[in-house]
Amino acid sequence: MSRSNSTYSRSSDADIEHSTYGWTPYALILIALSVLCFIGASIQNGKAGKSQSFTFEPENPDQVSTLKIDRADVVYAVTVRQSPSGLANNKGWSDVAIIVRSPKGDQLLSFGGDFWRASGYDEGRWSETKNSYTMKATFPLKGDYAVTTESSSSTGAYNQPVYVSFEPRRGSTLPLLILGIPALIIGVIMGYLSNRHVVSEKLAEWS
Amino acid sequence: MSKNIKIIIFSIVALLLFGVAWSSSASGWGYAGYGTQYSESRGYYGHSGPSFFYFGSGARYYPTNSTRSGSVGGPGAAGRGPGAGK
Repeated sequence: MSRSNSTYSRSSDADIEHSTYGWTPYALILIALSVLCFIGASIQNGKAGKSQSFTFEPENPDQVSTLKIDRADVVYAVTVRQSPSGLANNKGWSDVAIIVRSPKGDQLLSFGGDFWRASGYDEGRWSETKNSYTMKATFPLKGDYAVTTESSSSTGAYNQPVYVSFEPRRGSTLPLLILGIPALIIGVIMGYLSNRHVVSEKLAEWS
Repeated sequence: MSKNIKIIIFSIVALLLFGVAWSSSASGWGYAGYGTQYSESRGYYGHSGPSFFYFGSGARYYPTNSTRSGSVGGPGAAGRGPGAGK
């Protein structure tokens, strides 16, 4: 019994020792890099200043609001909300597009989304509502930008107010996630391949 | 080259990659509007849509000068209502 334990212990130690001369250090560096990237992405996704909010009335399509950008390369999370409560259930829709123009009238940015509500009975009662969407955008140049909306709906004239919020963020999360996610996957695979005997033994112990 | 030197070089490369990613992140890379420039002669130029990697959150990007009004990909693709979310 004690001999068996001793043999097992020597075997595990040998595997672990071997792994330190394999891909394990690289795997640990990649996993550490991915953790750094995820923490960085979380920091860059943080709010970085005061939000600017506007309310648009769909019955007034000529309404223009001014977005003030006071520094270059600023990222905004633009959230657009409209209540779908007045829309016909399961078939009504309202579509709202946001258009951002330069001080000289050039169209710089345009995006949109639709709002609706639905419900039914399918192995129990269900309901879904879409009353907002978010688009992140970068404003590389400071200045005053004109913001307008375009709206249409299944009912022709759907006059629920549209709330638009521009929330500044510290930066883009995309580059850090593009680096961090593959680094994590490759790091875990390399770590597993370098230590698969130890991992298999541990899994066998637990099962 | 010894194993330790390789590991140190690998760590430095990883840190450099992180630095590049952080710098790109701080300049807002990947979102709509990134790359917009301005000159007196050309006005605003270089603006583009979101990168391939950005999915948005329930929103659609309309290419510049092609909003829903009068665009091929505009009104016809918009407002599909509940079916679009199922």
